[in-house]
Amino acid sequence: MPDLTPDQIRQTRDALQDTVDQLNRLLMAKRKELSQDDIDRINEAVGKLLDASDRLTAQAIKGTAEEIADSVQRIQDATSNANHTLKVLDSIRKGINVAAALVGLGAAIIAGNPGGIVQASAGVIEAAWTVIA
Amino acid sequence: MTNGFKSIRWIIGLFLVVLLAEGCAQNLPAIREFSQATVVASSSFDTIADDIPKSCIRRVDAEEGFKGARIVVVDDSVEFSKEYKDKLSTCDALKESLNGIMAANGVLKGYAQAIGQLASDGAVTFTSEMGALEASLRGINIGGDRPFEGPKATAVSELARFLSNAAVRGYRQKELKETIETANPYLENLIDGLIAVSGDYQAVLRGEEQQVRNVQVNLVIESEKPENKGRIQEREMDERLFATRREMEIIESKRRAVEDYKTVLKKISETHGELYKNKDQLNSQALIPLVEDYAKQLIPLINSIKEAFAR
Repeated sequence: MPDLTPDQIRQTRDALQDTVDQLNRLLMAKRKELSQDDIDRINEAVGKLLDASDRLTAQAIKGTAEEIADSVQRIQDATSNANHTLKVLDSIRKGINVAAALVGLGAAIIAGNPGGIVQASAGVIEAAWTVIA
Repeated sequence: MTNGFKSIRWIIGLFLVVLLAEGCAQNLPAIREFSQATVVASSSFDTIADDIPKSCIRRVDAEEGFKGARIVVVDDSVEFSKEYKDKLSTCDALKESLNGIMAANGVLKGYAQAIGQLASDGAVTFTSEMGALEASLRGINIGGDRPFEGPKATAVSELARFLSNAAVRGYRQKELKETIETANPYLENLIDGLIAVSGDYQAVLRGEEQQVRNVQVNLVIESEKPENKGRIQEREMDERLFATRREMEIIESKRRAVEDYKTVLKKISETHGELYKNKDQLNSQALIPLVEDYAKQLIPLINSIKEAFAR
């Protein structure tokens, strides 16, 4: 027998819960005529039906997750694309920082300022490090 | 002179291209509104998923508690009864079944966050970086000559800012369009799955409500027995029936809130469809009020969910 689809499982569960409604109504309406044994049997049935209903719900949820797994993967791919773009934009930001640091280093070299060269080199390394890291 | 004129024309042409690019790819408030509202909505799903096994446990407690069958005393030790533990295993199964769907909801949230970040101007604005570049240019000193002093440094960095903004905003626009295009055919399916599971939660709540109703009917039966007609017994019965009535009210308010949440999910799907239809003009003046309206409708619905679960 083929497996039931999540929707078919849900229909079965709903039918069980409809039966519980009927049992509760019967219990209320006929409470003065029913024996304690009958009442116990109805209570037992209600508990079992509700237990079965929650088990069917668990199956339906699992089945739904399996049914949409492919779509979830495609959306994950789209998200990865967006996150990649954000990384590219961030690397452009870091690139501008490197350019600014290189301009400073170039100016220090042209000026022949040893202290400035050391300081500017440290700036270039720091900017470049954020790109590598 | 001719060469100079050509250069001026080239620079004017470049600025026109830059300004056009700036004009068609600025702020993208429609996507940011969609993103923020969707992130908030997907957080509500976590609340719902969290309560699914809890509702099952409350149902089992109501049934076994009324029967007085939760506890057994074994060798001077108080233990949960086998029947109670067996019943709770159903709730464990429900909890396990949620792993996949919660991951799916996490993907929806991650997607909304990513396109929201991409639509934010913060991703494509380099104000402080350009400021640092300008400061470096100003610092150039060649034998006492400062070629980028004053307005020259500002002019160069402004040009660089325009060029980089135009390039990255164009790139951002293209990537956003592709991201929305890739996701759109699958988003409806994912959201339908979340709607179905929200319906499952309503069914679990229905089961909890039916069990409370069963306890209530049994309390009525007990209250009508002659031995329970005393004043103290009647007061105690009133207290217990009142508690069942309150529980049913809380369950009902949760079921209504979940109905609202299903509407929220449908709106996310519809609004993403609108973004997809307008993917070539994501900052269109027609799209912005439409998405703002979506966000406005979501807020009271999400608030009603929060209220129902705070009780």
